[in-house]
Amino acid sequence: MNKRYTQAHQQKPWRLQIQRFGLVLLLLVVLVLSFFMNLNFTARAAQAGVQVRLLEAERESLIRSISANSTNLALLTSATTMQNRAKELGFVPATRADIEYLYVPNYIGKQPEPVTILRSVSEQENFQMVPAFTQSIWDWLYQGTFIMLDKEGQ
Amino acid sequence: MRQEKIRFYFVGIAIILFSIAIIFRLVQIQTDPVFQEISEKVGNQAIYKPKDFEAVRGNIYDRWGNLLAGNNEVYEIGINLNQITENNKNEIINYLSSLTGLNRDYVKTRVEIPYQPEPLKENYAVFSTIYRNATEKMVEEISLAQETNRALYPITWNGRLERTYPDHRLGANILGFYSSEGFFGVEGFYDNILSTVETSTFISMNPYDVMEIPEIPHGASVILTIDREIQARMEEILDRSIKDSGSTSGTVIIMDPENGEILAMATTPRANLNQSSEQILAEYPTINVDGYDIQTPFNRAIMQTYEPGSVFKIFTLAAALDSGAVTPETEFLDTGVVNIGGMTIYNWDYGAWGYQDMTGCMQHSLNVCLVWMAQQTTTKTFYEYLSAFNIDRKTNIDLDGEASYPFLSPSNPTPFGSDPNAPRWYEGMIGPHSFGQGVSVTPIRMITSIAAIANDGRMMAPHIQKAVIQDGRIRYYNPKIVSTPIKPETAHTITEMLANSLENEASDALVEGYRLAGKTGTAEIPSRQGYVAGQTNASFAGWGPVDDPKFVVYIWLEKPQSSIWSSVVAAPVFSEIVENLVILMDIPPDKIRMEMASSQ
Repeated sequence: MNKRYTQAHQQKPWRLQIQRFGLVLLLLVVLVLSFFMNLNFTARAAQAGVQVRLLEAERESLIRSISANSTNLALLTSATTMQNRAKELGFVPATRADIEYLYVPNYIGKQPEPVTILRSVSEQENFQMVPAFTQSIWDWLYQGTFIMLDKEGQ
Repeated sequence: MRQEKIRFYFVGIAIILFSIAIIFRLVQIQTDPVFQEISEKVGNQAIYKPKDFEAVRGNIYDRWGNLLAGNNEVYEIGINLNQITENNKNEIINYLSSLTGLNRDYVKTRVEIPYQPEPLKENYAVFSTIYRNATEKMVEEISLAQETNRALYPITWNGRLERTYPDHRLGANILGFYSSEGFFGVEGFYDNILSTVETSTFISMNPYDVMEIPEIPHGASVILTIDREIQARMEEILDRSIKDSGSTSGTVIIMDPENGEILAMATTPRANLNQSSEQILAEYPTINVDGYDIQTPFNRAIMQTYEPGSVFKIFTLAAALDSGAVTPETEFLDTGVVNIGGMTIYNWDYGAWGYQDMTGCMQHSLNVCLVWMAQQTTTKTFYEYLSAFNIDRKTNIDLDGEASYPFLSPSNPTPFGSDPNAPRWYEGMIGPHSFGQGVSVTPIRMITSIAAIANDGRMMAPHIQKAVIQDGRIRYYNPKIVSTPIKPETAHTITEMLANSLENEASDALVEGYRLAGKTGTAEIPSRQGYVAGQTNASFAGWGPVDDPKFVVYIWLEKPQSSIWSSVVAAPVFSEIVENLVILMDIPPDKIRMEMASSQ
């Protein structure tokens, strides 16, 4: 009687098989999803890392380029070059006989060319990298869990 | 059935034991310090790469913002040694040799350096530099060639900055040059602020391990007091004057007496600064002077001392007038000869000029009169005044390598030691000192001290720096008074006397429309055998406009051949310089200035 009662509440074997298979499949799906999620995150992090490195190299190159451009401009406007250009254009150095002086009220005279004043490193924006570029997915999950628990605790 | 079971269990146990062995070995590899060290080394070699972070050297500008020294981008071409194979080696050698123009054997030697990735080994080599200072065009050419020829892939390049001087030789003596550190001039003096510390670090090649690149501050930029246009014109005039007079060298300095700013400083020779340091220094050869091998000074204006001669008489006159020993009207009977301390001193023409007032003494540059003037001042007072003019000191101008020569005086009689043969001061030295012989000074010392007379008796510190741009701020130099050797009234009197003497003499130094003060100086050149006959140093010091001096000019022509006299070779140079200066500095003629002043 007792044996029959137990048997009456037993799942059919095919049902049990489906349940076990479903569970394994669910675990497998979770595992595959985690794997692809991890792969996606790490690939994006690596891509960002490479991009950061490329941008750093570009920044270095731009600093050199800016410096070189101002020097090249100075080469094109050097005293000798300008004198030669003036001569080619038919100009000659002025003598006292060529000059007539006029009184111009409020004339402040020749002004210097503005010189670029670079901002100091301390004045520049804080270039500290956001953690997303340096954090692993595990660090992110670990930290995220703590933040979540902290919030729940409040 | 039982035997099958035993076999089954046996295989199972074997598999389990094998698995345990594998796990044990894995744990052992992970924890063994020897394995850890090996894996770290191997890993680091692939993951970390050394990298130098170059600081950008600060620029140098003239007073109007024209760039005098900057940085240009050049490339260092080299090859990755691990990519060199027998198949691509010859092609790379041939290509680089034809591109760079370098000797094929040299390129071959550089390409055949054995690859050694171990940094601790003596022959560590992963990269071989073939050509430095390549242009952007060369790099573009390599890049294009690599697109069609895979054998050239091992060729790589790195950009870096190279010091460049847009005006090549202009102001070379002032600027100095840079080659891993600053040498001479501004580059040498301000080396510590123009450059900042370079950093070298290992950067991770792992894309997950992104590092921040070190933030290296740029070097400070320096704005000079130099006016590029005036400097260029002075160099042009100086070079022509040297050629015309047959002088061995020359120096011209222009200073603003009100604040000590150096507007121009031209000397010879001036090297092309866009060369290697060896090539630059080769333009300053070692020459034999009086039995001594002396390297040609990089900047004669501050690095070469000489006996200035009669321009020094300005200080004797200043001492005599300021101390009250004489007045401009004091009369002196010039007999043409004076004996002092056992030394017989004559005038420049060995003539006697009779009665002369003090202006006449300066106008005719009478040595005998000046000796008398110094004697009237008294030895103690005379040397006190010279000391107040800082004749015995350096000017401390902000340029690298300023020279000075010990000044023999009562307060420093034995600067060369107590050896009886060594030069020492004695009472009779006041004679030659009064007219600028037996005293050795640099042109910058002379102009600085003379500028005090043009600036109401106040001597300003000479300087080349107008401002410094650092940490995002611009800091201007504050002019400094270093000494007040004479009273303003004395300074005005001397200026008036020297202007009159130029006018009375109808000097070649005069410029129509502008009243100028000045003094010639023709000095004999000392040697170990005494003064050299027929060779002189011709100098001229002058300033103007007399009522409100805006410039002081100092000229020194060394050993002129066309004439030994300063009044013949240096005075016309002063006139030409002033003709140009008044235009470049926008200084109207005296009459127009007076009219403008009265109309305001």
